Amino acid sequence: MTRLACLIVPMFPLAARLRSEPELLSEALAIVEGNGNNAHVVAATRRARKKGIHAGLSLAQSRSIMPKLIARGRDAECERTAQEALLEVAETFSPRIEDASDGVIFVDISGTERHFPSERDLAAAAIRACDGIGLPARCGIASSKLAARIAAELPQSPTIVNRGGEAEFLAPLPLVRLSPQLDTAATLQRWGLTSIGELAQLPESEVATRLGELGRELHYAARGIDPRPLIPRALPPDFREGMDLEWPLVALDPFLFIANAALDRLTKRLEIQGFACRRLEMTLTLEPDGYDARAIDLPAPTRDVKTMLTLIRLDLEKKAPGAPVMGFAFVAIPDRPRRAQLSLFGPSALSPEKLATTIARLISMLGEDRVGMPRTVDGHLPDRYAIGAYNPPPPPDLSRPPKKSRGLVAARVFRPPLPIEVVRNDEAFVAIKSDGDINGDVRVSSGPWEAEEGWWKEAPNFREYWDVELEKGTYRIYQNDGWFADARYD
Amino acid sequence: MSATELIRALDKQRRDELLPTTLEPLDALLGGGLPRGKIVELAGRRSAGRFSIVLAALAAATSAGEAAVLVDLGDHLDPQILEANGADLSRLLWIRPQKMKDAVHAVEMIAATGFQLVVLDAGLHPIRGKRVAEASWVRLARTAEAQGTAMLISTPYPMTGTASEIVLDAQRVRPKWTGSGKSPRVLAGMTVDIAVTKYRHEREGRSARLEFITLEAATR
Repeated sequence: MTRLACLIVPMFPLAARLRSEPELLSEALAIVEGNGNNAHVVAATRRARKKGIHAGLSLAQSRSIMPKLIARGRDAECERTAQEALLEVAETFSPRIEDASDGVIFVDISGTERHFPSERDLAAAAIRACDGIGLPARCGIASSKLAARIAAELPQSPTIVNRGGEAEFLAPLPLVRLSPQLDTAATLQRWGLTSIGELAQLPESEVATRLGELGRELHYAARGIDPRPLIPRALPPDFREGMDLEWPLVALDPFLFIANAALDRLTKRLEIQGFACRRLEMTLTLEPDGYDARAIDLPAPTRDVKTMLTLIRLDLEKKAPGAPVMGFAFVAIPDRPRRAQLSLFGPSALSPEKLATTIARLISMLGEDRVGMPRTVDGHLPDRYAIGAYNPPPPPDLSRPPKKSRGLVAARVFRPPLPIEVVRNDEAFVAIKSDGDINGDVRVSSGPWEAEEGWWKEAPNFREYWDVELEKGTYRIYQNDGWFADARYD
Repeated sequence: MSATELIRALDKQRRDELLPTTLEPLDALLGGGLPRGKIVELAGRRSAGRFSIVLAALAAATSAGEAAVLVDLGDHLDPQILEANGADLSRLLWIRPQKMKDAVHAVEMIAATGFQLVVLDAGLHPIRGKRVAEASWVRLARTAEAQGTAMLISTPYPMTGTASEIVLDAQRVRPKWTGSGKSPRVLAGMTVDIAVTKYRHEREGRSARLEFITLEAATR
């Protein structure tokens, strides 16, 4: 028999908002829906409820009861991301989960008996996991979705309904727990029915005759029969976190402060799934309207919030959004973090995640073209070079001795080449002068060595090279529309 | 012996190993190679062979399968020469900062990642950017010790102060030329004298002579 767990977050709009702004937990806060005179409370914190603020009151009424009440509008982005986070927690218990929206999740827990000593332990673990992501949840376990949901809605959580005991469990509960439509509820009240058990005792055909198909379904539900199967959801393609802001932000630091919290939540979700972020997409909602969407590619999958924040800062500093920011959303494109096999007898392997994070930070500090792997380039000019992405091969399994160095003289290349003045007579170089420290009489020189690139072009790069020894060093110089020193032998 | 003990013992053994530069006279001066977990400073003015020693050390480490870093403050590296020297470029991370402060910061970050050889070449005199505080070098020494990283700092004049384990002074002797009289001259190599001016717990004042040859002379 299938066993289903229902995770439910009471007052979900409030819980989702508090997850994004946990500092409001101890305040008198009300979540309102609607604008102006139509604004009404949908949920309130305990401190506000103690003063009499409850769902359904208008904002004006609430303010007359409690003038210092903090009001926040329902934030669709916050609720969406909270729901996603809840789904991800549920996925750590079972791959078969159903998203019933608004803070309600159904989880098929059949076959998890080997992982938890009892269903009560599983439910307690699920509640703890939800607390870990900042969502206080309740849990109910039963053999049908309806019974599991009603069990989860009860205050004494977790509630476990025994196999086949659904009707018995539902019988003493008030009819309102079945959530019948308002006109049906009035009819049932006129019949003198108060509990679910009383409805279940009526003949099914009589109820169906009087209330139609809705009555038949209600009667089934009252007897604990719920034919609706669990509809598993597909895996989400991305991870998203964000929020709408109460006030527009114009400075970078306050935005980064809020972004830090959002990225922290995002990376925790990625970690739960065993993913890291390969690419971060950021969408800023601008005032009065419009969006600014941008993407930040990370050198390697990472979960380091500090690195992501640094890259966001640099990106925003490079190109400001141009208008106050009213909201934001981050989407992490997930990828498996790189793993390295620990080598016992070979050179130490670098931690791929640590390396990726460090390289990302170095790139943000120095620039993209200043960090990477040096690459040789085919050509004739000696100062050629290229730089590529650093992705080292794994170290050898066994330590090996280094190759014997050829002991080559290194040329210390000047980028860009330094302009010099050459004094020469008919036979040889006499002296070299420059604005820098390349000055002095030439002791020995050799050349010219001709090098040409792009001979097929209209203006090929043709150079004549010499090696010259001065008192204070040996240099490689060339002539090409003037004299330049492009390296020192060092 | 448990697996944990084995890993610890191997790690300790690895830290005790030296990282040879494969330049025999220099390795003899250093007692076998660059010590892991320590800073070795190599100071020398123009054409004193500093960069040739740096490239030899990088070539030796990468050819042995170790991951190495060159923090190249002056942007002086010629990848062709380095590869010709036997280096495995795929294991080398090349960082090209523009200020000394950034270079030291980069060395500290990268050493903490677990690279076995980190080389900082400070380029030519005058060094780009302001001089860094001595505390920065002490911090680098601690990072090197914590990670077991061999750190080679190549500078035009001594900078690391008390933080370095060994200070080597490089002096140019003279370049070698082939040909004489009226026959064409070709640069064939360079001779460099290296002296130990500081060596903690060891005798100072020893010296060695290194011979380097040009790529043209090596391929001839």
